[in-house]
Amino acid sequence: MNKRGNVGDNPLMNNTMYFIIFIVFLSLSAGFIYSQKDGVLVWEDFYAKEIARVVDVSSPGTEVFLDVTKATEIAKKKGQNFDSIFSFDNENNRVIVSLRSGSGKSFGFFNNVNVSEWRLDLVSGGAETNRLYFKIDKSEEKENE
Amino acid sequence: MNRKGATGYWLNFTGFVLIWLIILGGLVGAVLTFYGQDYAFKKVESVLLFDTVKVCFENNDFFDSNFKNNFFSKCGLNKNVLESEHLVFVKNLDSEEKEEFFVGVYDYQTQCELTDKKNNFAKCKKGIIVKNGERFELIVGSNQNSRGVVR
Repeated sequence: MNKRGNVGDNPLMNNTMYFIIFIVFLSLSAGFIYSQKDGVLVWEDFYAKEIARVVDVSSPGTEVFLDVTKATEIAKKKGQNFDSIFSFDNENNRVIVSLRSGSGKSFGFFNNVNVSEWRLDLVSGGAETNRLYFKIDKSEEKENE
Repeated sequence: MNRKGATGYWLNFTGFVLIWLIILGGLVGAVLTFYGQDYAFKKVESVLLFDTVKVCFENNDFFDSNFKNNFFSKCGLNKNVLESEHLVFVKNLDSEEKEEFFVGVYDYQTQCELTDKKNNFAKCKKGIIVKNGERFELIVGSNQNSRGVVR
Protein backbone atom coordinates (compact mmCIF):
# COMPACT_ATOMS: atom_id res chain seq x y z
CA MET A 1 0.00 0.00 0.00
CA ASN A 2 1.34 3.41 -0.91
CA LYS A 3 1.17 5.75 2.11
CA ARG A 4 3.23 8.61 0.71
CA GLY A 5 2.04 11.96 2.07
CA ASN A 6 -1.26 10.60 3.24
CA VAL A 7 -0.94 11.71 6.90
CA GLY A 8 -1.69 15.34 6.14
CA ASP A 9 -4.01 14.60 3.31
CA ASN A 10 -6.87 12.91 5.16
CA PRO A 11 -9.15 15.64 6.58
CA LEU A 12 -11.44 13.16 8.29
CA MET A 13 -8.52 11.59 10.17
CA ASN A 14 -7.21 15.04 11.14
CA ASN A 15 -10.53 16.24 12.46
CA THR A 16 -11.16 13.03 14.37
CA MET A 17 -7.75 13.30 16.07
CA TYR A 18 -8.35 16.96 16.96
CA PHE A 19 -11.78 16.13 18.31
CA ILE A 20 -10.49 13.30 20.48
CA ILE A 21 -7.72 15.44 21.92
CA PHE A 22 -10.16 18.30 22.46
CA ILE A 23 -12.47 16.01 24.41
CA VAL A 24 -9.58 14.70 26.51
CA PHE A 25 -8.43 18.22 27.41
CA LEU A 26 -11.96 19.35 28.08
CA SER A 27 -12.60 16.37 30.36
CA LEU A 28 -9.39 17.01 32.29
CA SER A 29 -10.27 20.68 32.73
CA ALA A 30 -13.85 19.93 33.73
CA GLY A 31 -12.73 17.20 36.14
CA PHE A 32 -10.22 19.49 37.82
CA ILE A 33 -12.65 22.39 38.16
CA TYR A 34 -15.39 20.09 39.44
CA SER A 35 -13.03 18.71 42.09
CA GLN A 36 -12.46 22.29 43.31
CA LYS A 37 -16.15 23.16 43.26
CA ASP A 38 -17.60 24.06 46.67
CA GLY A 39 -14.06 24.65 47.96
CA VAL A 40 -13.78 21.09 49.25
CA LEU A 41 -10.02 21.30 49.79
CA VAL A 42 -10.29 24.61 51.61
CA TRP A 43 -13.05 23.39 53.92
CA GLU A 44 -11.25 20.12 54.67
CA ASP A 45 -8.15 22.12 55.56
CA PHE A 46 -10.19 24.53 57.68
CA TYR A 47 -12.01 21.87 59.69
CA ALA A 48 -8.90 19.72 60.23
CA LYS A 49 -6.99 22.69 61.64
CA GLU A 50 -9.78 24.12 63.74
CA ILE A 51 -10.61 20.74 65.29
CA ALA A 52 -6.91 20.23 66.03
CA ARG A 53 -6.92 23.64 67.73
CA VAL A 54 -9.82 22.58 69.96
CA VAL A 55 -8.04 19.34 70.88
CA ASP A 56 -4.80 21.23 71.61
CA VAL A 57 -6.45 23.47 74.19
CA SER A 58 -8.59 20.76 75.80
CA SER A 59 -7.90 18.85 78.98
CA PRO A 60 -8.74 15.19 79.60
CA GLY A 61 -12.41 14.85 80.48
CA THR A 62 -13.52 17.63 78.15
CA GLU A 63 -16.55 16.97 75.97
CA VAL A 64 -16.75 18.96 72.75
CA PHE A 65 -19.69 19.87 70.53
CA LEU A 66 -18.82 21.66 67.29
CA ASP A 67 -21.17 23.05 64.68
CA VAL A 68 -20.12 21.36 61.44
CA THR A 69 -23.14 22.21 59.32
CA LYS A 70 -21.07 23.58 56.42
CA ALA A 71 -19.03 20.37 56.29
CA THR A 72 -22.13 18.19 56.18
CA GLU A 73 -23.65 20.34 53.43
CA ILE A 74 -20.57 19.87 51.25
CA ALA A 75 -20.27 16.17 52.07
CA LYS A 76 -23.92 15.66 51.16
CA LYS A 77 -23.36 17.32 47.76
CA LYS A 78 -20.29 15.18 47.18
CA GLY A 79 -22.06 11.98 48.14
CA GLN A 80 -19.81 11.33 51.12
CA ASN A 81 -21.04 9.03 53.88
CA PHE A 82 -21.61 11.14 57.02
CA ASP A 83 -19.90 8.57 59.25
CA SER A 84 -16.69 8.98 57.28
CA ILE A 85 -16.42 12.78 57.37
CA PHE A 86 -14.55 13.13 60.68
CA SER A 87 -12.20 10.69 62.32
CA PHE A 88 -9.22 10.72 64.68
CA ASP A 89 -6.00 8.76 64.41
CA ASN A 90 -4.95 8.51 68.06
CA GLU A 91 -1.83 6.56 67.23
CA ASN A 92 -0.40 9.45 65.23
CA ASN A 93 -2.36 12.26 66.93
CA ARG A 94 -4.12 13.40 63.77
CA VAL A 95 -7.54 14.74 62.89
CA ILE A 96 -8.82 13.47 59.54
CA VAL A 97 -11.50 15.31 57.58
CA SER A 98 -12.89 13.83 54.39
CA LEU A 99 -15.67 15.69 52.60
CA ARG A 100 -15.46 13.57 49.44
CA SER A 101 -15.13 9.86 49.09
CA GLY A 102 -11.65 8.48 48.58
CA SER A 103 -9.54 11.32 49.98
CA GLY A 104 -9.30 13.99 52.64
CA LYS A 105 -6.95 16.07 54.77
CA SER A 106 -5.31 15.40 58.10
CA PHE A 107 -3.67 17.66 60.67
CA GLY A 108 -1.69 16.82 63.81
CA PHE A 109 -2.56 17.90 67.35
CA PHE A 110 0.38 18.32 69.73
CA ASN A 111 -1.61 17.81 72.93
CA ASN A 112 -0.79 14.29 74.12
CA VAL A 113 -4.36 13.08 74.57
CA ASN A 114 -6.70 10.55 73.00
CA VAL A 115 -9.93 11.51 71.30
CA SER A 116 -12.79 9.08 71.76
CA GLU A 117 -16.50 8.55 71.17
CA TRP A 118 -16.62 10.87 68.16
CA ARG A 119 -19.88 10.97 66.32
CA LEU A 120 -21.87 13.26 64.08
CA ASP A 121 -25.20 14.37 65.55
CA LEU A 122 -27.71 15.23 62.86
CA VAL A 123 -29.74 17.39 65.19
CA SER A 124 -32.40 18.38 62.66
CA GLY A 125 -32.22 15.14 60.75
CA GLY A 126 -30.73 16.94 57.75
CA ALA A 127 -27.82 19.15 56.87
CA GLU A 128 -29.16 22.28 58.57
CA THR A 129 -27.72 22.16 62.06
CA ASN A 130 -25.32 19.32 62.56
CA ARG A 131 -22.66 18.95 65.16
CA LEU A 132 -19.59 16.87 65.84
CA TYR A 133 -19.21 15.41 69.30
CA PHE A 134 -16.01 14.00 70.75
CA LYS A 135 -14.44 13.43 74.13
CA ILE A 136 -10.88 14.10 75.25
CA ASP A 137 -9.24 11.30 77.25
CA LYS A 138 -5.93 11.03 79.01
CA SER A 139 -3.38 9.08 77.02
CA GLU A 140 -1.69 6.63 79.37
CA GLU A 141 0.17 4.75 76.68
CA LYS A 142 1.65 7.77 74.98
CA GLU A 143 2.61 9.30 78.32
CA ASN A 144 4.89 6.36 79.05
CA GLU A 145 6.69 6.45 75.70
CA MET B 1 10.73 7.16 2.98
CA ASN B 2 8.49 9.74 1.43
CA ARG B 3 7.17 12.29 3.97
CA LYS B 4 5.69 14.80 1.61
CA GLY B 5 2.78 16.65 3.16
CA ALA B 6 3.45 15.53 6.75
CA THR B 7 5.25 18.67 7.95
CA GLY B 8 2.17 20.83 7.83
CA TYR B 9 0.20 18.29 9.74
CA TRP B 10 2.65 18.08 12.63
CA LEU B 11 2.99 21.87 12.78
CA ASN B 12 -0.77 22.16 13.04
CA PHE B 13 -0.92 19.38 15.60
CA THR B 14 1.82 20.87 17.81
CA GLY B 15 0.18 24.28 17.69
CA PHE B 16 -3.14 22.77 18.63
CA VAL B 17 -1.70 20.93 21.62
CA LEU B 18 0.22 24.03 22.73
CA ILE B 19 -2.90 26.16 22.66
CA TRP B 20 -4.78 23.63 24.78
CA LEU B 21 -1.87 23.34 27.20
CA ILE B 22 -1.91 27.11 27.64
CA ILE B 23 -5.68 27.14 28.20
CA LEU B 24 -5.52 24.22 30.64
CA GLY B 25 -2.56 25.81 32.44
CA GLY B 26 -4.51 29.04 32.76
CA LEU B 27 -7.53 27.27 34.19
CA VAL B 28 -5.47 25.29 36.69
CA GLY B 29 -3.55 28.41 37.66
CA ALA B 30 -6.71 30.45 38.15
CA VAL B 31 -8.43 27.78 40.23
CA LEU B 32 -5.33 27.17 42.36
CA THR B 33 -4.89 30.89 42.94
CA PHE B 34 -8.47 31.09 44.13
CA TYR B 35 -8.68 27.90 46.17
CA GLY B 36 -5.07 26.78 46.63
CA GLN B 37 -4.08 28.87 49.64
CA ASP B 38 -3.97 26.90 52.87
CA TYR B 39 -5.98 28.10 55.82
CA ALA B 40 -3.33 30.09 57.69
CA PHE B 41 -2.81 28.33 60.99
CA LYS B 42 0.93 28.22 61.72
CA LYS B 43 0.94 31.44 63.74
CA VAL B 44 -2.12 30.37 65.73
CA GLU B 45 -0.57 27.00 66.47
CA SER B 46 2.72 28.53 67.58
CA VAL B 47 0.83 30.81 70.01
CA LEU B 48 -1.10 27.84 71.45
CA LEU B 49 2.09 25.83 71.83
CA PHE B 50 3.90 28.81 73.33
CA ASP B 51 1.30 29.10 76.08
CA THR B 52 1.51 25.37 76.85
CA VAL B 53 5.33 25.38 76.94
CA LYS B 54 5.41 28.56 79.04
CA VAL B 55 3.30 26.96 81.77
CA CYS B 56 5.46 23.84 81.61
CA PHE B 57 8.65 25.90 81.78
CA GLU B 58 7.47 27.71 84.87
CA ASN B 59 6.86 24.38 86.64
CA ASN B 60 9.96 22.47 85.52
CA ASP B 61 13.71 22.89 85.19
CA PHE B 62 14.33 22.67 81.44
CA PHE B 63 18.11 22.76 81.95
CA ASP B 64 18.25 19.74 84.20
CA SER B 65 20.33 17.07 82.46
CA ASN B 66 17.51 14.50 82.56
CA PHE B 67 14.68 16.81 81.65
CA LYS B 68 15.02 16.56 77.88
CA ASN B 69 14.16 12.85 78.03
CA ASN B 70 11.01 13.64 79.98
CA PHE B 71 10.04 16.85 78.20
CA PHE B 72 7.13 15.40 76.26
CA SER B 73 5.54 13.53 79.13
CA LYS B 74 6.10 16.37 81.64
CA CYS B 75 4.61 18.98 79.30
CA GLY B 76 1.85 16.71 77.95
CA LEU B 77 3.03 17.03 74.36
CA ASN B 78 3.19 14.48 71.58
CA LYS B 79 6.68 13.60 70.41
CA ASN B 80 5.77 12.48 66.89
CA VAL B 81 3.88 15.63 66.05
CA LEU B 82 6.31 18.07 67.64
CA GLU B 83 9.67 16.75 66.52
CA SER B 84 9.17 16.96 62.78
CA GLU B 85 7.38 20.27 62.17
CA HIS B 86 7.81 22.39 65.29
CA LEU B 87 10.44 24.07 67.40
CA VAL B 88 10.64 24.72 71.12
CA PHE B 89 13.72 26.74 71.99
CA VAL B 90 14.69 28.19 75.36
CA LYS B 91 17.80 30.22 76.06
CA ASN B 92 19.02 31.56 79.38
CA LEU B 93 19.89 35.18 78.65
CA ASP B 94 21.55 35.83 82.01
CA SER B 95 23.83 32.84 82.46
CA GLU B 96 27.40 33.11 81.23
CA GLU B 97 27.19 29.80 79.38
CA LYS B 98 24.06 30.98 77.52
CA GLU B 99 22.43 27.61 78.18
CA GLU B 100 20.09 26.42 75.47
CA PHE B 101 17.32 23.87 75.38
CA PHE B 102 15.59 22.88 72.20
CA VAL B 103 13.26 20.27 70.78
CA GLY B 104 12.23 19.91 67.14
CA VAL B 105 13.73 21.57 64.08
CA TYR B 106 16.54 23.93 65.10
CA ASP B 107 16.55 25.68 61.72
CA TYR B 108 13.11 27.15 62.37
CA GLN B 109 14.86 29.84 64.44
CA THR B 110 16.31 31.18 61.21
CA GLN B 111 13.09 30.66 59.30
CA CYS B 112 11.21 32.64 61.94
CA GLU B 113 13.39 35.66 61.22
CA LEU B 114 12.70 35.39 57.49
CA THR B 115 9.07 34.37 57.64
CA ASP B 116 7.81 37.64 56.14
CA LYS B 117 9.84 36.96 53.01
CA LYS B 118 8.69 33.42 52.35
CA ASN B 119 5.24 32.16 53.15
CA ASN B 120 6.17 28.50 53.57
CA PHE B 121 8.65 29.21 56.36
CA ALA B 122 7.80 28.46 59.97
CA LYS B 123 5.80 31.02 61.93
CA CYS B 124 6.85 31.69 65.50
CA LYS B 125 5.92 33.23 68.78
CA LYS B 126 8.71 34.70 70.91
CA GLY B 127 8.75 35.93 74.45
CA ILE B 128 10.88 36.61 77.49
CA ILE B 129 10.10 34.75 80.69
CA VAL B 130 11.54 35.75 84.04
CA LYS B 131 12.05 32.86 86.43
CA ASN B 132 14.01 32.98 89.71
CA GLY B 133 15.40 36.39 88.75
CA GLU B 134 16.81 35.15 85.44
CA ARG B 135 15.55 36.01 81.97
CA PHE B 136 14.85 33.28 79.46
CA GLU B 137 14.04 33.69 75.79
CA LEU B 138 11.35 31.30 74.61
CA ILE B 139 10.83 30.73 70.88
CA VAL B 140 8.11 28.40 69.68
CA GLY B 141 7.59 27.77 65.97
CA SER B 142 5.29 25.77 63.77
CA ASN B 143 5.59 24.79 60.14
CA GLN B 144 2.87 22.17 60.13
CA ASN B 145 0.70 21.87 57.02
CA SER B 146 -2.27 19.62 56.55
CA ARG B 147 -1.57 16.39 54.67
CA GLY B 148 -3.64 14.71 52.01
CA VAL B 149 -4.97 11.29 52.95
CA VAL B 150 -6.34 8.51 50.79
CA ARG B 151 -9.23 6.63 52.33
